[in-house]
Amino acid sequence: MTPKPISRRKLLKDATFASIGGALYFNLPAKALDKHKKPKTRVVLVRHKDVIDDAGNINPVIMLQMIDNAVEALTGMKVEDAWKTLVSPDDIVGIKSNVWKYLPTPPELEQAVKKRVLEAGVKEENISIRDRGILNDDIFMNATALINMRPIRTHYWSGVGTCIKNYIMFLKKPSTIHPDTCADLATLWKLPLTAGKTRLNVLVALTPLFHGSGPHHFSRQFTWQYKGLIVGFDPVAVDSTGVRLLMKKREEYFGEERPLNPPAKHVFLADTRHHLGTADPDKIELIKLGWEEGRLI
Amino acid sequence: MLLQLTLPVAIAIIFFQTGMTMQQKDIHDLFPKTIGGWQQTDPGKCFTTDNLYEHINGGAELFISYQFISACTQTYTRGDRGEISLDIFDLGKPKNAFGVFGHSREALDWRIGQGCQIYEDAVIFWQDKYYVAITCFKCPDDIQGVLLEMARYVSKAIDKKGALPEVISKLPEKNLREESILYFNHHAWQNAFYYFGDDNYFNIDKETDAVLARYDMNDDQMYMMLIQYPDVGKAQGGLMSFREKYLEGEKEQFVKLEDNYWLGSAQKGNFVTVVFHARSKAHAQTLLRSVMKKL
Repeated sequence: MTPKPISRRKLLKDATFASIGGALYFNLPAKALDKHKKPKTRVVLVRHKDVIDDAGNINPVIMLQMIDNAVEALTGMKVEDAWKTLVSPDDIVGIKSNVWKYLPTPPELEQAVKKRVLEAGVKEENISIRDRGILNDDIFMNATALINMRPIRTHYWSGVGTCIKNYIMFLKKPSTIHPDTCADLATLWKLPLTAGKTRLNVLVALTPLFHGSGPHHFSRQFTWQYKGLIVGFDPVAVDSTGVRLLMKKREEYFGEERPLNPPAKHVFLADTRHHLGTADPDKIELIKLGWEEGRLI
Repeated sequence: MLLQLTLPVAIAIIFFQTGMTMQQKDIHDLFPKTIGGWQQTDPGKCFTTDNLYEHINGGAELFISYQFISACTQTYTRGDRGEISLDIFDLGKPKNAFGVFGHSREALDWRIGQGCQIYEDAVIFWQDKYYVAITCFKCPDDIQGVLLEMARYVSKAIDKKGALPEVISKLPEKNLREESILYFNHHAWQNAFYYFGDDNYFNIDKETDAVLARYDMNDDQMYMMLIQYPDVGKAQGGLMSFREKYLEGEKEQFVKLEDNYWLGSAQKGNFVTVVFHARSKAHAQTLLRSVMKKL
């Protein structure tokens, strides 16, 4: 059966979708209080004013500190104990990065995470950091654990580049997931190579791209030094938080309503259709650490 | 696996596949050998709909939604001063090049081609059936002069201008924010300013010419969508589809929706127009009347 199309009117009228739709499509604020007191999905936003210097260089020490702080807040454990709950010495670990040349996953973050994975006892030969070509990579093909890390950015066809979308390279032909503006990207998380394997999601918000221009959808003019990481176990909650950040920035920059175009439908459907996680800000406990100025969310 | 073709080889294959039109050779002739000491560093590559993904990944869908024909790209370097990429897209018709350009336009600027956007690290313009992007990666801060020189070279080489789609001329000029005009013929872009929904409510396809534009009336920022269909019957069908699917059968010309904004819709001849996001019914009526007078 073909799913019913989403529409503005449906999102506004249907209480089931009002909160998620309001956040992901219309930039409406989350409700102030959760009346139901249900357990929430934890997401950590960590920022540090000095993680990038004036020349644009990333400080690897601060980067390690940021990811450590995020993992501690996420798990409620000391960092060395926390990583032992994320990976075990027997694991084969694929660290899925993103190599888009204009805004790649920073090597400093890749090395920080690799360091902690090694310290948790995983053998170096059982770790691979890669984006393209993972289907030809023995580690990824046999991985027992995945760590997913990529920058947040707007995108011409899926609306946003997200943690959910970062698994597109697990498809032999990524364009097969493009129909309906990438609506069903969440199905990537149900592939045999990925299902149930992800231990951590890191949405990099150091210099997010909040608007696209030109064929490659990139201009430095539409990035800003936010200097943050959005970290969580639930990729949908992490991405939903990232989408809200981009929408706030767009509102601030353009001074008028400027919806993501196309909208971040795949994040909405990852929750409402595929039940991969929660996109509803009312069901997300956002822990905010570090630099407060210009946090926007 | 799809091949990434060098520019001359790709052109030769495209000639063969498309009946030897000379148009593709024109793309080759648009690339300068050198500009301001920046020189071609590789043979260049060309792409069709089958492999544009290799060049711009998901962004390819934007171009494909505008009936993309082919694109060629060439890299230029000058020592270790970074890398300039010149991308030239053949969209087949000027209206499609104008449409793609609309996705990048933030302000009116006609210094290059038939409209351009100039950034510190990029120059983008459209002219005739071409969408041209010159972008710089890891370049020095003073690179803009070189990018502009390259853009002027390509513009002169194109040496031709294309006509805007007729539907643009039907937009009322009063209160129009001209930089907001977005032409499209794929329903994915109907949500550019205001999210309607995923359905193809208006039956938009490559046979229809649709345009979105913003209007500022006092403090009211409204939007207009104007669609030109191939014939009156299809226009009637487009409006009926919209009223049935989106307005849930509502037949009134003006409707106040759940977000407390007014929407007005009408059909005249082979045109359908919708004004939306109006704070008052009077504003919606004024804008709708002004477009109906031009049809």
